[in-house]
Amino acid sequence: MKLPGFFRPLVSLLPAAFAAFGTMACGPFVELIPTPEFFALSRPEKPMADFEREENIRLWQAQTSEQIPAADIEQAVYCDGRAVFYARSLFDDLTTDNLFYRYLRTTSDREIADFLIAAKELEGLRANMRSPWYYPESHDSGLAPDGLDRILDRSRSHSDSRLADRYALQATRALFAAGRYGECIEFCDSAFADIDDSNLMKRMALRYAAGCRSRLGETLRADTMFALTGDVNSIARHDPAKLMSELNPGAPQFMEYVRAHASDRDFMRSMMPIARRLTDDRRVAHKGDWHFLMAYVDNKFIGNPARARSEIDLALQQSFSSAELRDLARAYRMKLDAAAGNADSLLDDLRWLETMTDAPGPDRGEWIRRCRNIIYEDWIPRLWPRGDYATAIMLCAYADSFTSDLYGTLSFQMMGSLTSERLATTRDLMDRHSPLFDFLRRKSPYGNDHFNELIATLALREENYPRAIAYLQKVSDSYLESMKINRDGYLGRDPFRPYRPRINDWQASPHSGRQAPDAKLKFARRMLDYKREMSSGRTTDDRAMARLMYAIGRRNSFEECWALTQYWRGDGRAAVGIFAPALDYWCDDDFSARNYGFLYDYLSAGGMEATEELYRREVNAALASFASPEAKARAHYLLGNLKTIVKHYGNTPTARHVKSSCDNWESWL
Amino acid sequence: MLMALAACGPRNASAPAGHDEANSVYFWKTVFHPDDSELEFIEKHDVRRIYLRMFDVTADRYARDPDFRAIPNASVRFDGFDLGQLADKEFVPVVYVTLDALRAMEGSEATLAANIVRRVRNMCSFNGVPDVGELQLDCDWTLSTEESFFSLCRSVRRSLADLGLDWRLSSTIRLHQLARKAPPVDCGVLMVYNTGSFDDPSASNSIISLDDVEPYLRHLPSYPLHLDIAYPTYSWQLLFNRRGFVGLLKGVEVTDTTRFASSGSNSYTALADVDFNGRTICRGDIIRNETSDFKTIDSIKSMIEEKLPCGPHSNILYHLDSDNLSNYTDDEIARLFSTAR
Repeated sequence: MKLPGFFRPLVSLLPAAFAAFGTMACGPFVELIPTPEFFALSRPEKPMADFEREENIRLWQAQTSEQIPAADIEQAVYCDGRAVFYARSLFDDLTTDNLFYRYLRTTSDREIADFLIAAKELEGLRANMRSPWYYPESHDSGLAPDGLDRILDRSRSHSDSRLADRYALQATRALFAAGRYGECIEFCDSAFADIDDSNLMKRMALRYAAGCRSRLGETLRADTMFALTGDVNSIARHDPAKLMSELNPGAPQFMEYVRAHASDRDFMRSMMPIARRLTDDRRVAHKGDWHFLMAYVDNKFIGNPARARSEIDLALQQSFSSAELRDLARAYRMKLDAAAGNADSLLDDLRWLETMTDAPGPDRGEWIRRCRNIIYEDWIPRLWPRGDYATAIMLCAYADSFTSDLYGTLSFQMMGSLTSERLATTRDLMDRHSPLFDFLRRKSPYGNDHFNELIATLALREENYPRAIAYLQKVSDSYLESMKINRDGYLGRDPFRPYRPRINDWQASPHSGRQAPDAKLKFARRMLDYKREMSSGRTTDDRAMARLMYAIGRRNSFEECWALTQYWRGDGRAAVGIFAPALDYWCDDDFSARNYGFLYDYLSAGGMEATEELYRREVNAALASFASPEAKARAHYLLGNLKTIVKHYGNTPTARHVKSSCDNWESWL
Repeated sequence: MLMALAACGPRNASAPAGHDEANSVYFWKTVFHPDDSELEFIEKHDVRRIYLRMFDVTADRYARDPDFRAIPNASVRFDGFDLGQLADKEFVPVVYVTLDALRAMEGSEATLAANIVRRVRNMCSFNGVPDVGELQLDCDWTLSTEESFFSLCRSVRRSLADLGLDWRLSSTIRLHQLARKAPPVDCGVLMVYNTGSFDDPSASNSIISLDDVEPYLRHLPSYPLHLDIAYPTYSWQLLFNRRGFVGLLKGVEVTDTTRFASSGSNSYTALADVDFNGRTICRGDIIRNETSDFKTIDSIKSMIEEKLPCGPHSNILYHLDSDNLSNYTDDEIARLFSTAR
């Protein structure tokens, strides 16, 4: 089964969503953003009746008063039943705020009221016929014979009135509903013979006549009439778009139809020659629509973004059939600009885009998705590999500002994937004043505390403890206390206690729950002390013990106490851990890995295995360098090797302590 | 005089005005097009009333409009049959309401009633069904659906009046319903068929059985509604496999001993796989032949007439089908129609 275009992105997200949730131990959960539409409809296709309804409401305004709101006309003409309309349009004692009804009563415009009462009567009869309980009462007609005759007589008697076209349409509908197809065609032909083809009632009536011809087997004729009236979805032949392009290329329903099928690659490619022809067709007023289509197909389905860029420029110089399409074309140009690395109009475009993302209304969510899509999918992959980290992060933070999450964002992940030195440099660049950066900075959630703490954390990861200390000392206590890793107890564990290896099981390690806002600073200072002691310790045993403690601290800072050195351990493909960034699944699961190229990639680089290997090597080297048996025994005691202490260093004070403190020590042997 | 009074039960429910004693048949097919022998049967046996199934009412679980949670299904078609040939007959349109439909419309019986009445009226009018003076509802209502069905009956009466139709309202009455209150209708038809469970492999005859009928007849003398009686004249074959009832068949030659072996008074076991009308009757499957045996019907008829309140009533054959009716002699048919006591 083929899904409508606007459902497909959602469906395609489901496997990614489940895959992501499957790897998550805890929140924040990966944010899934449905891929927004730039040309295709992001809503269901508008039915023919809706086009007619909008036009008809405007006609009623013209026939009554331009001051009457469209909603009031819609309520009276389309929503209220016959009885309600009858009462509200005729009885003064019924209060109503509806200006259409008030117009009918104050002007005593009986002609309009009578017509609408008759039309509602017919609609009631037609509704009955659509009921599963409907059964005609006689062979004469599907409608009650007197009802149909009354409607036809009434129509004929109003042939000179200002509502003649409306009455003629009612009669056409009645004949169609009655199944009197031949009569319906004849009536339609004669009743509308002197009425201009642009008349809405005539076009609506011709659709019924086309339906009659279709039912009478005159399919070709019916298709032509459907095309001329814009009813593209009723065309029976296999290529309705081609017929529409030949007979009625300017019909708004045509572009609606094309956009409803815009996710169909073959269809869209088949539209290219048609669109090209229509851009030269004098009948087509809104050539921007068709240039836009060509730009979209060139970029999305043919893979020619350069030609697409030229087409979109042409499109934006032309008229569009709707403001919506023009806006979409401009947004699409932003994508094409990104692909070309052309930032000339980026600031202007972002300013304009912000008017769309800030505008309240049903489309706001889709415009936010479009904004984020342009930045995440088009600009970041362009800027990041070029090393323009400042612009990339600023843009990314702007796109991230639509979420309330601070750490689970792509910009935070990007900053966390730089080196401490690079981030410090980038931060300086980000602080520069330029129109673009000033615009973006308004939405940035990052301040000095964020940058200093993150640079320090990166330095801890790099074992650059002096830098870590320098930056941590700049971070406010209130910020450190407010951090999630502190509040949730991820910093409370002792980093200088040996833990069992947890390869492939690190997510499950329990945390202390104890808050320790200064844990990073304390850790950095101790590591710095051990580093100094390793080279300048008083005795061999002191230097060996410092080396052992440094090895334990280093390994723990990456594994058991990982929150000391990192906010995420992901590899760009899998979102794991509590600070997993909110990756957006635009195209496929590997999009971010391929396009963002994170510098710090702990899991993919085999970081865990490397950490364990270095730890083993350093511990063995430290143990080998101890001079005295007691110092060796103390080192093994620290590592939990009680069996080794008793077996090899049995005469040491530490061994005696083990034997005297542990009743069942022999069981270790 | 005393003899006559003793020959039948108490007189406590008379037929409604206009509802005369008449030989009657049900017509229960989806196309009303009686063949020559059926038309001949009608004339020969002076059938003056035809109960005609118009449509079933079934539940539509997917209906968006709550008014359409019950919808018409399997409407009868006339396919060009000239009803003028039966212009002198009285027709009673019958609507079969499934329990699912009744449950689906619980609380909205008035809507259902209006839909039924208007549609039946239109079907009769459109197709020229002659001499309609009564509408019949057929429903296997039970204790849990009794109130809903009764509400439907009351609403149908109102709908008839709303449309200016002076039709009587009747209802079928199943044997088990005799023990309950009578529905608010003008008269009823006691269904003396489908007395057993057709999907019960251990039953001997689900169409009609003395043992199944007799226990219910004690309610008959005091039943407060005028009743006509419908007797079966149909037969069928029921197919069972190891898991139970499979379906209905007709026309399998179970007496072909190369393919079937008798395994009971009216049961036959397939000795090998048997192809029949595009389906396979598997080896070991059991076919139960069920018929409406005249003697059984006649015995039950006698028992019923002994207990039926005095006064005229009609006997109705279920249903008008030349194949089935050919199993009975003219005398037997005359006896089934006879109400002489």
